[in-house]
Amino acid sequence: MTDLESKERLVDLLIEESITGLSIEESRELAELKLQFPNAVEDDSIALSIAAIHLSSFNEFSPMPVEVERRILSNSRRSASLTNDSSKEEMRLGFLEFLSGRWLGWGVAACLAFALLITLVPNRITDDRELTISKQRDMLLASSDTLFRVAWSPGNVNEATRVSGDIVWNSSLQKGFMRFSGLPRNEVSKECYQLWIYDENQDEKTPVDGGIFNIEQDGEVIVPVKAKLNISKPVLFAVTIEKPGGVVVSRREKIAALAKVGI
Amino acid sequence: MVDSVLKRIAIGDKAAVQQCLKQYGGLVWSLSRRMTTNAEDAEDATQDIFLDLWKHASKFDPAKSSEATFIAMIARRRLIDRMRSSGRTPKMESIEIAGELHGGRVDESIDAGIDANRALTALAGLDPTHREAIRLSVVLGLTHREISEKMGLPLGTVKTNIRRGLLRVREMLGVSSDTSGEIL
Repeated sequence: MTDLESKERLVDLLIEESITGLSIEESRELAELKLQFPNAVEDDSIALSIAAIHLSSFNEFSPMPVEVERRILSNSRRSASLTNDSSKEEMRLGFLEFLSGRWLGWGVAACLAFALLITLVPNRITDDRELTISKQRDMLLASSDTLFRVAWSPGNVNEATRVSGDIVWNSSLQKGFMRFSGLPRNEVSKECYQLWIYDENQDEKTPVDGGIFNIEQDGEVIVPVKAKLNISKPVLFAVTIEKPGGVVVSRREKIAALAKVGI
Repeated sequence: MVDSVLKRIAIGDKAAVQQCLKQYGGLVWSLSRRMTTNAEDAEDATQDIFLDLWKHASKFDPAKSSEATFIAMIARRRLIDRMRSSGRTPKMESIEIAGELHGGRVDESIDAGIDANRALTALAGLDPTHREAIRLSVVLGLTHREISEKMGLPLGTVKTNIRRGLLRVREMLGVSSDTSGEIL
C-alpha cells in the first residue's frame, strides 16, 4: 500500500468509526495507521464534521422529558459530593503513606500513630487494597479538571486482541489508573508490562515511563499509573511487553494495548 | 469571564450543569430517540451521554466547533457504542428525514444552527452523488455496501465519494486548522 493509499484508508476508518463504530481488527488497524501518520488527520475534525451534518438533518428538537432531566441532575449532584469526599480520602491516604514511610520503623511512634489514626479517620484502615484502588479511580473520574479517559484498543500482540477497558489520567493531580479486561497474565520471570505516556511536550521518541506491572489474575484489573516525569497533556498511552523490571527505552516490538487521546 | 457553558462546567460551575441541560437537553434527547429503539433506551443513553459530557467538557475547543456540534459528537459516539455493544447495526430509526440535508435552514434559536447551517451550505455545494452518499451514511446509518446497492455504484466509488465529500465539508466548516499541507 502506498503512503497515499494508507492515508486514505486512515480517513475511511475514521469515518467508519464515527458512523458505525469499528471492529477490534479495524480499531487495531486504525491505531497502527495513526502511529504511522501521526499528523495526517487532525483529531476529531472528521467526527465533528459528521456531527454537524447530522445536526443539519433536524428541523427541530423534541424536548427532553422532565423526569430524565431530574435524574441527570440528581446524578450530577451525587458526582459532585463524591468529589468532595475524594479530598478527605486523599488526606487519609496521604497520612497513611506518611506513616508507612518515615515513622513506621519506630515502634512506639507507630503505635501512637496507629491509635491516632483510629481516632482521626472514620473509615477502617483494613480496606481491601483492590477496593481502595477502585475507589480512588472512581474519585478521579468524579473530578472534572484536566481529566483524560481513553479506551484501550489492541496493539500488535496476538494474545491480547481482546483487551478492553480504559485509562484515566488527571494532569492536575498527576494521577491515573489503567483498567483492563482481557489483558493476558504475564509470566513474571520472563516479562512484564510497561506503560508509556506520549506527552504533547515530550519528543515522541522518548515517551515517559508510566511504570511496570504484572497481570496475575483474570477478569478486570485496575493498575495505578506511576509516571516518572510530569505529564501535562498526554496524546497517546501504550502498553508494551518488556523484560522483567522494564526498560529505559522500549523498542516497541510488542505492543499489548494502545489508547489514543481524542475525546 | 467564561461564557461557554461547557467551559463553566469544566471549572466546576454547578449552575452551568442545569443550564447545559436546558440548552442542549433537546438536542441530546432527539439524537438518542433517533438512534435507539425505544424511549427507555433513549433515557438510559441520554443519562450516559451527559455523564460523558461532564467528563469531557474541558476538551471543548470553540476554535474547532460550536458547543452543539461538540455535544452531538460526544452523543453520537456514546450511541454508536451502545448500539454496537447490544449487537445492533447503527441505523437511525427515523426515515422521515430523507431529503432534508439540502432543504431549508436550521433554526439558529435551537442552538445547533451555526455549524449545521454551514454544513448544509457545504453539502449544497457538493456533487449530488457525493451528497446523497453522505446523507445515506451519516443520517440514515447505512453501510457502504448498502449504499452501493441502493445507489447502484461500485463499493470503491461509494467510499471515495463519502471520503471526498466529508473532507470538503470539513474544510468548509473550518474544523481542520492544520496548514502543514500534510493533512488529507
